[in-house]
Amino acid sequence: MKCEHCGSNLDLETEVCPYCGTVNRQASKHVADMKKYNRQFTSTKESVYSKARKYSDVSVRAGILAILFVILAILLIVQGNIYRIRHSMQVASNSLHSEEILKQMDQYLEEEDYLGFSQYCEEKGIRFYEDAFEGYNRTHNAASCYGYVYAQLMKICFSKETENRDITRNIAFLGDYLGDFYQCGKREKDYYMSDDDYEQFLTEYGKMKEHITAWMMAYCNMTREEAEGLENMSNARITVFLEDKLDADS
Amino acid sequence: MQIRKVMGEKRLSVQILNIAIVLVCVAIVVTALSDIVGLIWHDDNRVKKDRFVWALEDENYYQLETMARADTERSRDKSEYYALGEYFHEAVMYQAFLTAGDEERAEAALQRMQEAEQEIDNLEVIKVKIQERVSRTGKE
Repeated sequence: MKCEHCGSNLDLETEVCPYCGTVNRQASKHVADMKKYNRQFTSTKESVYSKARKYSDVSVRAGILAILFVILAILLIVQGNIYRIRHSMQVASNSLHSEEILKQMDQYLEEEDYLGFSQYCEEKGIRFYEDAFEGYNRTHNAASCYGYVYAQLMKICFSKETENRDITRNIAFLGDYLGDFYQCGKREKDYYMSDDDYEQFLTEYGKMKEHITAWMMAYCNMTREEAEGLENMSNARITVFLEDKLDADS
Repeated sequence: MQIRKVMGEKRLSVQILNIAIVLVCVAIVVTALSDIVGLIWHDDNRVKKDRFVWALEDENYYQLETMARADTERSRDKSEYYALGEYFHEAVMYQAFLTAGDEERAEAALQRMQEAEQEIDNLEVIKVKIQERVSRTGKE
């Protein structure tokens, strides 16, 4: 631009002409305009930054919160399925240690400790559909029934608080459990069992039967023939027979 | 003023989110600990000693046997009660086999009774009571 007074070349930002000293009115206006534009620019910039920061802070935190909720949901699902997860872990552990477990199971059977055998299988969570253990399935079923018979007999004979009403109910339970036990031996060989496994089952079942016969003779005042004859009775008939025998005692 | 308004809103919403994050983190820690305990420390089938004492006071020897068998803790201060539970069971089996005339099994049960006896120091009186009770019930 040119000076109004002397016509010399001036910059837009030169406020006074260096040659004649005249005030450059256009430059003053320009500087004022620039100051105003700078102020507006700074204000807008701060406003934009603060809003962006706000949304950035909120969105980051919201994202973190969403991820944490997902983690919490997963943990709650795990908690709801703790039993299944633990069971799966136990099954996996059983597969890894099957030899030791089988050895322990055989030891219980050798000692004729069928209560211990049954409890051990339950504690270990043995799944008898697994190849390693399927041969013991029938033996375990019989041992479980054996355990129920023992428990009921003990309740009847050694429970201090049993009243007459409870004795009748317990005798009925004993009759059912005895019937269930004898049924274990009447079923034929399962398809998945080898001949050896079935032979072993029959051997163990026979031993359990001898134990139960001894119990009936000692604690239910039966003769050997009566005790052995229970096998051929129905559950209801066993119950009636037991009521007669135990009533005769009391 | 516009900036002040914007800054104020930011503080409140961010603070609310901060508090929510802290609460969810606490919930996660608690749930995770619970999961770990549930996975590792399971089957807490521990029987307190008091229950053994009560069973003996009630002369409920079968319950004593059941608890002794089920107790997974197997602590030394309860070893005598485990032995008594085992003693009771073997006494029951011994009486039964004796009545049935099964000498071999009766002998084995008697041997196990004697093994269990070795653990019983302070509860001799209870042992004698068990013997009498089993013998009486068997003969009846």
